Amino acid sequence: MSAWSLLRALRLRTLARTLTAVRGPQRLQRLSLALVGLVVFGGVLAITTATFGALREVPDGPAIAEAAIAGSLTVAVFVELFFGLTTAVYTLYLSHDLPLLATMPIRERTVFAYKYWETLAANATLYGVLWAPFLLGYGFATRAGAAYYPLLALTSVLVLMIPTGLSILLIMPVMQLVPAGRAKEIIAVLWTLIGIGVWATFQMLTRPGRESMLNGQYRAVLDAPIFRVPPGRWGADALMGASVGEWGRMLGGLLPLGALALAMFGIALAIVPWAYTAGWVRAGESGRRVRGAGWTGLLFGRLPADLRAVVTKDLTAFPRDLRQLAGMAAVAAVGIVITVVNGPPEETPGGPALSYLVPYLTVGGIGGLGASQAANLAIGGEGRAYWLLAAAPIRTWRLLLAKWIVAFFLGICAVTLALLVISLRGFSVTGLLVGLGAGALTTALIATYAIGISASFPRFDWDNPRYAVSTLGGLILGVCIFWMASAGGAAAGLVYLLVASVPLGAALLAGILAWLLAAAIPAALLLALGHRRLSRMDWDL
Amino acid sequence: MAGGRLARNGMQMIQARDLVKAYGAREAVRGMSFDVASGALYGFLGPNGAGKTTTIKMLAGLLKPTSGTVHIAGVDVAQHPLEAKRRIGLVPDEPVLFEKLTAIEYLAFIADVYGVPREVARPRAAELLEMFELSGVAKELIGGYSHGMRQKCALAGALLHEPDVLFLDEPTVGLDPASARLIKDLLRSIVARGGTVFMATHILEIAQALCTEIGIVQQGRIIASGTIAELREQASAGADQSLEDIFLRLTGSTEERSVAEYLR
Repeated sequence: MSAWSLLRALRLRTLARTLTAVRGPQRLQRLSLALVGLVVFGGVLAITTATFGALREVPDGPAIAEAAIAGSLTVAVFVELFFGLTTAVYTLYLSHDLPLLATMPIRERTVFAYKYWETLAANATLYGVLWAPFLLGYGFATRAGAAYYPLLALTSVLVLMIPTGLSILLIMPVMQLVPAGRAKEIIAVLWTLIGIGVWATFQMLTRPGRESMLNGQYRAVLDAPIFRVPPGRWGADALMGASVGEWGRMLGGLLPLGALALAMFGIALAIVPWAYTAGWVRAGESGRRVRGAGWTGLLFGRLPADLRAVVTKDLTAFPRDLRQLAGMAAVAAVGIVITVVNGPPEETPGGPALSYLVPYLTVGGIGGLGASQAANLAIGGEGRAYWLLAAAPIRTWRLLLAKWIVAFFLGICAVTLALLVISLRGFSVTGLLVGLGAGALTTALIATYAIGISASFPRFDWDNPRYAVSTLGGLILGVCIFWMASAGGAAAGLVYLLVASVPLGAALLAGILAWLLAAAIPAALLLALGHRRLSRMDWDL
Repeated sequence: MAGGRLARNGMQMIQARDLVKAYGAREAVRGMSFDVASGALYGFLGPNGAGKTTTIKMLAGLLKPTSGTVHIAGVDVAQHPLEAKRRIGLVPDEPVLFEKLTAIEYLAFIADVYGVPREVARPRAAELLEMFELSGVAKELIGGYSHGMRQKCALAGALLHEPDVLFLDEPTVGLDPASARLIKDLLRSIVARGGTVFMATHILEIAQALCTEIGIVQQGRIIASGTIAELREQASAGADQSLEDIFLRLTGSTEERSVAEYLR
């Protein structure tokens, strides 16, 4: 058996075991993911089949379909380039098998070709769920000939080969800037940046007034460069040519697409093995001195020593961990965009109406997001270093209190930021006080929920910091926040009923107390459960 | 602060009685009982998977025994875990530390958690960093340290509060010869000052050179214990035979023979 066949068999066997040799919650998680993938695939297929079918009846339909396919393939190349960069970090820099393979009597080019296809296969999942049904839908809707489907598979592979080769090449200089140990942090930052970008764009596009600009002007949209540039243009020509039997057009698209894909593959295989074996590729050096965090001493220096130790540790580490920072940056971005999009609060003649208070009340949600972001990582986020806390003479409830202080502090920072943004657009003392009150209460409650859940359902997987809480824990946090919001609605109803018979102040106080009582009960239960779990757990880390 | 260079001559600093740790049907530790006196350097030897690390974790309060008791300096670890933990320093086999802290910040954290006053902790931390040759990197993140540097940092943290009992799991693995020598000298001086050290190791030469008492563990049980002379007697070994010979004889290891046959 050749080295190539051996590697392929090894990869397939590993993949099969990854899918089948899991038990318990992990198995459920994989099955859920597979189900979600199937639903998305089916949904995209049904929608695109119907849409492309309908377009056939429209005069400009074929042009729109052509632009959609070309544009989608170009977008696919960019999306896969982004995913490819993160995948290449895992398949090359954080790979478990590359050092082993490098010591075996296998040609370097074979090893890196294997790594190239491994990267491509990992990237192909997203393409398979979103783009494949989209293009299949076109084939079904237009009753494409039999040649369309094998050509669809070939075009897909060629399209994926371009960003895969590029990402493997581009990640080399990027990784020289950071130590290998921080590669995952870079990935988190990339994900956050793209997430913020997509979310902010969505917010902006859905603002009133923007939609009208797009209405009825699709001809102008079709002239946009994204629908006209290669490689999407080539892919569209190849597929549309195959669907209607225009072989010249098909070849006119397929040949340059294939040439570009093979060129990217060839260049990657010519440069990457050489760069690795020559030692040119290495992660950036660590060992840089870092700035101290004296501000934590100023703010929390008067806490009892054990609380101060944990709070200072967490807040000192926080700005140095790009993964945690990226999570909080996402919260800040959400806060800023929400407050900007909602516009400045408007005064009403009869005093502060509910609509006037909405932006300030939203601040509470932003603070809660910040607190839950920090609290989710409180226990599981320590990863295997949790043994240090487990071995230390600190009471469990004091540890939970220290973690709560950190989460509350970060949540209040998010609240303050959101209030500052609102104030820049329209200052109001009443609004600020309401915002601060709502923010502090909501942040405190959500921090308590999240700390309780983090302690009750921790996952010590520092490789995936977003999963520092088990799936069940995440689900329970969602239920708790829903409960808190529902209790808020019920409390508002209570105030509405009471205001007819008692003064407004008394009605408001009754509503707030009722809300706090209802929301605090699950918080207390979760904390008690977390305390019990941490106290009893065996630390075999 | 607990203890602190306590020379409690004659006192049993570690008392383990009928320790059992079961994971489902599998028993990793099967009824271990032993005492370690104050001022002893106790070597805990055994083949891979014998239960050494599990035992250390139970002694240090990280794992709850399925049954049995542990007392550290007379304090029941299960009944009064905080009191016991204050008297303990632990360096695990893989020193996973807080990666986003510097060595100085890590030691400040340890000082606060163990209640060492700042005016005492600062000079002591500086002294330990100097001793372990970490002063030059003390303001760099631990995440960028090599395995040996982390090991030394973990050891500095374990010594900062001057524990009564120091637990070490394979302390010299991954260290360069100079650092390994430093640790050996350090352990000798801790014991000379009345401290107690409990060390699990695979390196029998180190155990022979350092340990005042040795326990040999196999399949979750202590199969022999005592001074090297006592072990020699238990193994019916000659006066010229090393600890390695005694160990192989007591554990009935066939590895030596297998390797010889393979090389032939």
